[in-house]
Amino acid sequence: MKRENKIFISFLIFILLIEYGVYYFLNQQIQDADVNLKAREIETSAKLFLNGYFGALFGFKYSGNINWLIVPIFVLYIIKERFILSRGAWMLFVFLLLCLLLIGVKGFFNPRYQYTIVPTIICLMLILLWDMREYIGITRFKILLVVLISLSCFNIFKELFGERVKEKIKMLFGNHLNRASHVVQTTVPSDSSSCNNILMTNNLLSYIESMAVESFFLVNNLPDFYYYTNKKGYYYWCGNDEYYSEEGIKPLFNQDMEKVYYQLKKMNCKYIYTYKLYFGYNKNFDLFIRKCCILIAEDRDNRVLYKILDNFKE
Amino acid sequence: MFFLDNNFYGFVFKLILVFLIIGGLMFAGVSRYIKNFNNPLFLLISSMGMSMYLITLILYYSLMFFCDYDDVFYLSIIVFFLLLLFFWSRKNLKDAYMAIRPYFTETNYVIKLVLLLLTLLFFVGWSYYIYTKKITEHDTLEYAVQGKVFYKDKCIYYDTYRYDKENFFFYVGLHGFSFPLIRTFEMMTNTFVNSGDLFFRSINSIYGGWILLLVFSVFYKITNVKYAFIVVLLLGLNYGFFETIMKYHIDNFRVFFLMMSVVWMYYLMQNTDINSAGVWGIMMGAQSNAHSLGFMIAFIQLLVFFIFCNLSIQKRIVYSVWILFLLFLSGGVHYVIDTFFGTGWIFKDIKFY
Repeated sequence: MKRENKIFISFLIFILLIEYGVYYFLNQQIQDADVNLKAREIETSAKLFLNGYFGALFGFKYSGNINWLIVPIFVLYIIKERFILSRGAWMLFVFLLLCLLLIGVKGFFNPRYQYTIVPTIICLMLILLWDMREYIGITRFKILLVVLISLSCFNIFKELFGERVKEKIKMLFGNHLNRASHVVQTTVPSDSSSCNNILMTNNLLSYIESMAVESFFLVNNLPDFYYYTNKKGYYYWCGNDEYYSEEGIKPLFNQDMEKVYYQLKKMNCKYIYTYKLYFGYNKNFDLFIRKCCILIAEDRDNRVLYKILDNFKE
Repeated sequence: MFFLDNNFYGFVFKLILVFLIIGGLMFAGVSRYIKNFNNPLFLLISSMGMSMYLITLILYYSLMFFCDYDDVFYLSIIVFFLLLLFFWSRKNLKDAYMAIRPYFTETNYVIKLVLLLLTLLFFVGWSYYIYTKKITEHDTLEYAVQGKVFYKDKCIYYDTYRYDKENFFFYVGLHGFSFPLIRTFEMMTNTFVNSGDLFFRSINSIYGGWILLLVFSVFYKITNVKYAFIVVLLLGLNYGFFETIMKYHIDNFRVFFLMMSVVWMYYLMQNTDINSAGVWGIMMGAQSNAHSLGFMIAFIQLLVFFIFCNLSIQKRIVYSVWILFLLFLSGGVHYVIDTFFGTGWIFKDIKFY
C-alpha cells in the first residue's frame, strides 16, 4: 500500500478514535451533581473541558461533531504551505484563536455562545480542505467529504432520537399555549395537609389572564407571564434567590420563612407562578411552597400556580 | 389553518416589504458604492439581511430622541429614510438587476422548476410551523416582552435597572436592542397590517436561511457550485445549526452579521479602500448591536485587521478611527451609553439560569 494511503487510513482511524473518546466522556454521568451544571452538561471535569471551554470544537451534543477537525486540517495546511501563509490567512487564524479564547473564557457555560463561531469554523475548515484537495489527492479528498457528511448525519440522528430532543418535540407539539383555557375540575390531593381541588387547565396562562384578582404574582423566571397576560408579577429566580425589584436585585427566600411570608404579604403578592422543573434549585423556596402555599392550578406543560395561604402556619 | 388567517398574509407582506423590497434597494445602493466587489450574490444576501437591521437602527435612535409620539410618527421616520435610500439607489437599480440576473437565467430550466417547487413546499411547511408554534423560549420571551415595553412606552431610555413599573417586569438582558426592536416594529406596523407576532417568530429561521445563502454565495465564487452545495449541506447537518434554526431565538440573527463581517474583513485585506472600510464598520455595528459577544468580537476583528493589513501605520490609524466611528454610530454606541448611564454593562457578571 502506498505511504500516502497508509497515512490517510491512519488519519481516518484517528478521527474515529477521537469521536468515540469524546462521546464516551460526554455520556458520563455523576450522581448528586449540581442542578445548574448538570443542565448545562458541564458537571464533570471532562465535560467542563469538552462541552465548556472547548465547546465550540468538542461540544458534540450542541455544536456538532466535525468542528474539531479544523485543528488537524489547519496543521496539515501549515505543513503544506511550509509555514508561509498569506497575511489574510494569518489574520483569520489569529482571529479564530482569539474568538475561541474569548468564548472559552466568557461563554463556557452556554452552548449558544459557543455556537457563535461554529458556522465560521466549518466554513474555514472546508476552505482549507478545498485548497488542499490536490495535495491530499482528489479521491482522498472526496472520501474525506463523505466521512464528514456521515459523521454529521450520525450526530444529528443520534441527537434527534435521543432523550433531549424527544422532550423538546413533546414540548413543541404538546405545547398548549395556543389553546383557550379549558378548565377541568378534578379533586387531587395537594402537597399541603388539607385536600383541595386542583384545576388542570390546557393553558395556565389563559387561566391566569382570566383571573379577576387585584393582587400580584411572584413569577419564577417565566417571562411568558408578561408576554401572554396583562397581570402584574414580581420577577424572581429561585436558582440564585434573586428578586428583581425597582431598587435592584435582592435576596428573598434565604431568610426566616415567617419573614418571607409577611414580606410577600406586604407586597400584596398572593400567587406564585412557577415551573415544576424549577423545584430542586432552592431548598428554601421549595420549603416555602410546601408549607405556605397550596397548588391551585397547573397545565400539561408543567406550569404551576400556587396560592399563598391566608395565615402563616409554623 | 394558517392560510385562512389574515395575520398570515400580513406576515407575508412584511417579509416581502422588508427583505425583498428594502433589501433590494439596499443592494442597488451598496453595489453603486462598492464597485470592486465582484460577488453580487453576496452583496444581495448581505443587503437583505441588513435591511431589517437598518429599520431597527432607525427605530432605536427615533425612540431615544423622540419619546411619546404615536406609531405613525415613528413609521414616518422609517419611511423618510427609505425614501432617501430609494433616491440614493434608484440610478443603479437596473445595473443591480443585471448583475444578479445571470444567477437565475443561466440555471437549467428543470433545475429552476425543481428548486421553485422545493421552495414552495418548504415555505408551506415553514409557515405552518411558524403559525403553530408559539414563543416559549425563555430568552426570546424576554426580548419580546422588552420589545412590547418599548412599544408601550414609545421611548428608549437608559437606567440602572430596566424595570417596568406597570407590570413589574425586569429586563435582565445586557445586549443591544435591535432584536427586541423587531417586535416593536411589528407591533407598530400591526396598526396597519396585522401579523400578530408571526414576523418576530420567523426572524431566527429567516436569518438561518440567509446564513446558508451567504455561505453558498461565497463558496460558489471561490470553489464551484457542487462544493458550495456540499458546504451548505454540512452546515445544515451541523446539530447546533439544525437545532438553532428550529427555535425562535436571537442566534442566527446575530451570527449572520458576524459571518458577513468576517467575509468582508478578509475582502478588505485584499482591497483596502475607504468605502469598503466604511461598509465593514456598519456591518460590525450591526453585529455589535445584536449581541454583546458581537461587540467584543468586533474589537478582535479590528485588532487583527490592524496588525495584518498592508497599510502604513498612519493609514491604519485613519482607517481604524473611521471604522470605529461607523461601528459606534451603527449600533455599538449602546454599550457606551449603557456602561456609563445605564446598567453598567461591562461591569455586570453574565448570569446563567
